[in-house]
Amino acid sequence: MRPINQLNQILFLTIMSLIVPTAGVLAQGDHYANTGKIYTVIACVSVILIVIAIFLFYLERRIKKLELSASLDEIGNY
Amino acid sequence: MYGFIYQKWWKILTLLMLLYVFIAGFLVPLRPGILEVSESRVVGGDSLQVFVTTYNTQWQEGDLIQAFIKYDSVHIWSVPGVTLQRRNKLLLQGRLLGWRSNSRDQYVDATLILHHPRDGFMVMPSAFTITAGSGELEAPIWVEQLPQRAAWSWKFPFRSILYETIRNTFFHVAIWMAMFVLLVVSLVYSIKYLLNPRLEYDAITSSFAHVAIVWGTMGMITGSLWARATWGTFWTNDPKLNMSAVAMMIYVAYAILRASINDDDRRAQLSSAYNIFAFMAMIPLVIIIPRLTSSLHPGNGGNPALGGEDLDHTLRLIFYPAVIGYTLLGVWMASLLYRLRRIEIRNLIASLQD
Repeated sequence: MRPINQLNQILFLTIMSLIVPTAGVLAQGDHYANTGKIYTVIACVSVILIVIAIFLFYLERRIKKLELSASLDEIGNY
Repeated sequence: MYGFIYQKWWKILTLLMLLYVFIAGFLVPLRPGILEVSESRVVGGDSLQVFVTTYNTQWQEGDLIQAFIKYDSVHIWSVPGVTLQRRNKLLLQGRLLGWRSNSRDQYVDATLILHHPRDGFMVMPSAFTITAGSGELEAPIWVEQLPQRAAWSWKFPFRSILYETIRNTFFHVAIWMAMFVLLVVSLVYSIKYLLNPRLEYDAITSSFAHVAIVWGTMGMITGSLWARATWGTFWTNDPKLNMSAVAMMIYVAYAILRASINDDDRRAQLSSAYNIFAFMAMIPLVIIIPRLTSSLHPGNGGNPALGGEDLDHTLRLIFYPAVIGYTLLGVWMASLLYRLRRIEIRNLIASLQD
């Protein structure tokens, strides 16, 4: 179970690290209204987050497969 | 040696670095700059009345703001009437310094330079197109007479066209750099496999290559978004873009090759050999060919990046941790894939023994 906990940690920290600074920046107001280009950066950061999330789901699927095969082997223990 | 991947300290370091990159990457403001001038076509000798919109300036009444119009390296005109309208708007007034027409040039591209004691210099190249008028060139102001530069501060450079997207240096460029490091690790282990065929080496090779493909995909998507904001299109026929797409295809073919072979040893052998060729193909495609041709993309064809003024000190302070952070995050992801793969191999061997 250890790797999963660590991955949850990444996800949590990534989300926090995105929300906290974005909120601060958007609160500054009119600077970004001038060019609107900050949204490109936000889109790029979202892409990074989404790709990492897809990787996590892929990893989880493979681990689940292993868990299922393990539980079939040791069915007496469950 | 493999104990490294079970240790925790470098994973915490990775997260702290990326946290720093994300926070600083968003919160560090851009240096003040000139966004636009209300009128760019002016006539030498005429009276000038131009509004200048600036960016990230917090100017107040009573600040000593100076404006200069630079015709060439010798002729710099100090605008006599500078009025502050709002904290980000100036009015420039005065009789524009004359400019003598000669037979070759009918106009001159003049640079607008603003100076504020706290914010330092703001430069807008080709702000004015000055056509020859009645006036004569007056006494020039020499460069030495310009005010002193402001001290270094924790700010990103202000670049026209890029503006706030300069922050993508940490979310696009750094990811490609990390991808190269991961591919080098993958290459090293595929060579090791061919010298000493152990499935463990192959598992490392494939884990790193797969994570590198993920990183490359991320680099392509973020690059495409950035291109939309700066070049106005998601994709253009640019050698750097097309060649990196080809290089990515070569690595996707690696993944497909692996998926299509069932025998472990045969797959390891073929894909290790293929991986070496893929790397050898990628280097000229992504790094050499775009440099030999002309390219819109920075870093190619007389369009330098990561050198000179392109990556200034403040960007470097966040860019290098970003590269290390994404690389270590990739190593972490690859190590998880590798550990998973190793359990799968062990299970497979156990099931064969039953």
